[in-house]
Amino acid sequence: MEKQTVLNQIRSLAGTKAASREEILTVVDEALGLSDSYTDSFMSRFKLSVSGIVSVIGALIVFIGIIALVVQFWSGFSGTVKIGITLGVSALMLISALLVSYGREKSILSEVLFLLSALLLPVGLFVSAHVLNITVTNGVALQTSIALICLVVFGTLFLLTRRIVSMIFTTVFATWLYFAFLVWMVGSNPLFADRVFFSLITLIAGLAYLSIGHFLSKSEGQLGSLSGAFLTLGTIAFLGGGIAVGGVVGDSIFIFLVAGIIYASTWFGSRSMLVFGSLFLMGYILKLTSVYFADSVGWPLALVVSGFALIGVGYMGVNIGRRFIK
Amino acid sequence: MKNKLPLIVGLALPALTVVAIILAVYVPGMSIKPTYDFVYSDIPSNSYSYGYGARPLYGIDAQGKFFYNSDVCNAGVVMALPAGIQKLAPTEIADCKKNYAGMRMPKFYKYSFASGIQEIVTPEQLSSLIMKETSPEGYVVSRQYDNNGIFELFGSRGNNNTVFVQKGNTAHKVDLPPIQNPYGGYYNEFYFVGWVLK
Repeated sequence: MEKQTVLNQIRSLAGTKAASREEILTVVDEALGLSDSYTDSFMSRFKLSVSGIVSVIGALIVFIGIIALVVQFWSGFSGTVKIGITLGVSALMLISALLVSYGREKSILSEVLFLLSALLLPVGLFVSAHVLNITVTNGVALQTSIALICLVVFGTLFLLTRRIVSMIFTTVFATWLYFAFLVWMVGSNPLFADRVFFSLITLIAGLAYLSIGHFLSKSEGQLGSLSGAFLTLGTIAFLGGGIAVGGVVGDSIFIFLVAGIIYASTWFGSRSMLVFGSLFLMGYILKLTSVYFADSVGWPLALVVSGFALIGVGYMGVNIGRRFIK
Repeated sequence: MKNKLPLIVGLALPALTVVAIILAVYVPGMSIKPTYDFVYSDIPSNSYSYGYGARPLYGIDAQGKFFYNSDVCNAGVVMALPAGIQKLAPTEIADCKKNYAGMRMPKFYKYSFASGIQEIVTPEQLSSLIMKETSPEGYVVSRQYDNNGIFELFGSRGNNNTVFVQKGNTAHKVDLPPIQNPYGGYYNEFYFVGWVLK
């Protein structure tokens, strides 16, 4: 078939509106192997309209405004007012969100109200603890308590509403609780005071994100659209924690972690995992060059070798993407 | 069930990590039971020594004997200074006395790990003891800063003096009784001197 004929057919198809612009582009991307199933599914499943984006920006402006107001007149407020404009507003937003969302599947207003409530809840709890003079010997213990309360509130909301925003904040608060509780438990114990401990718990958090991302990729509806975000964040945390472990043993094991992520990217069909896996592999090559080889073979030769290795990684990444990720 | 396996793994991993860390922190520490007492001070040994040849205020010498330089300006020492530490020149003494007039002198405390009892001891009492930095049972004492934040975010390292007794890959936090601040209230300054050998 002539190229011009094909293009004319596409033009007439688009002109009669038998197929939308997005549908035509999706078909072309799939044919060329350019689509990222996770990223695209996010965009298609969770369509953010212009009004939605404006609403989210508006919510953030309201949040910043409340914070600015609190900071500006903080000393002049009574304790009750301080709690009211933070925790009270958060509770009101939460109730409003529940009322607005009742019976509606995709109300952007309820998502915005949930967002505001989630942002103000930890601030309100910190303020309440301060006003009520709830003293704890350790700052991390207070963080753990607040993270736990936030998790219980938004975890319950998620179970009740299955809304995407409640899922996001349940994850945020659970992650916060995980790190705060571990740091609190370890305290100032000298055996856990080094970078390796923090690197390993970050690596495990990344692994948990990857696992949940994989689970979500099989879910239908809005929640499934979060799988791409989970896989991306999971990859960054997993490989970020892995590369930060350092030392001869840590550096030796890291190559297997990167290989695992790149292999898993083809299995999960995630382009973002492949991209970040390749980027971390490049970072790893540069790290090995500077730590182990720059002094022995000299910087010029080390740079030449690592440069070729980086080209190889880039070529490999592009090839894997084309061949295995549709 | 098979479909939910990734979700179960994703939720179980952090939970198991928390359990493993709690066990790793608390279980090995339970085996730490030093039978020797240790001595500490509420002022660092290098106080008042800047610019004057870094003369230590107190310490233990190579033989484990305690020494205490009650007059930091060296005009007349109560106990003999360790070998190698020189007295100040007369001009330096006058300068030193001017700088350090009214200074707070250290107090010494002896703590028994077994009984949890802490008592104030005088330098004279300590001078009859032999002390070492490592106990005969292999324990060492370290002072650590508490974490008040995560990754130094949302708070920072606190200035609480938390004391640990360590041996190999085990550590146990020591809950020392608070010591009275001369300016009122209580505080928990801790500067390790040595383990008292029996």
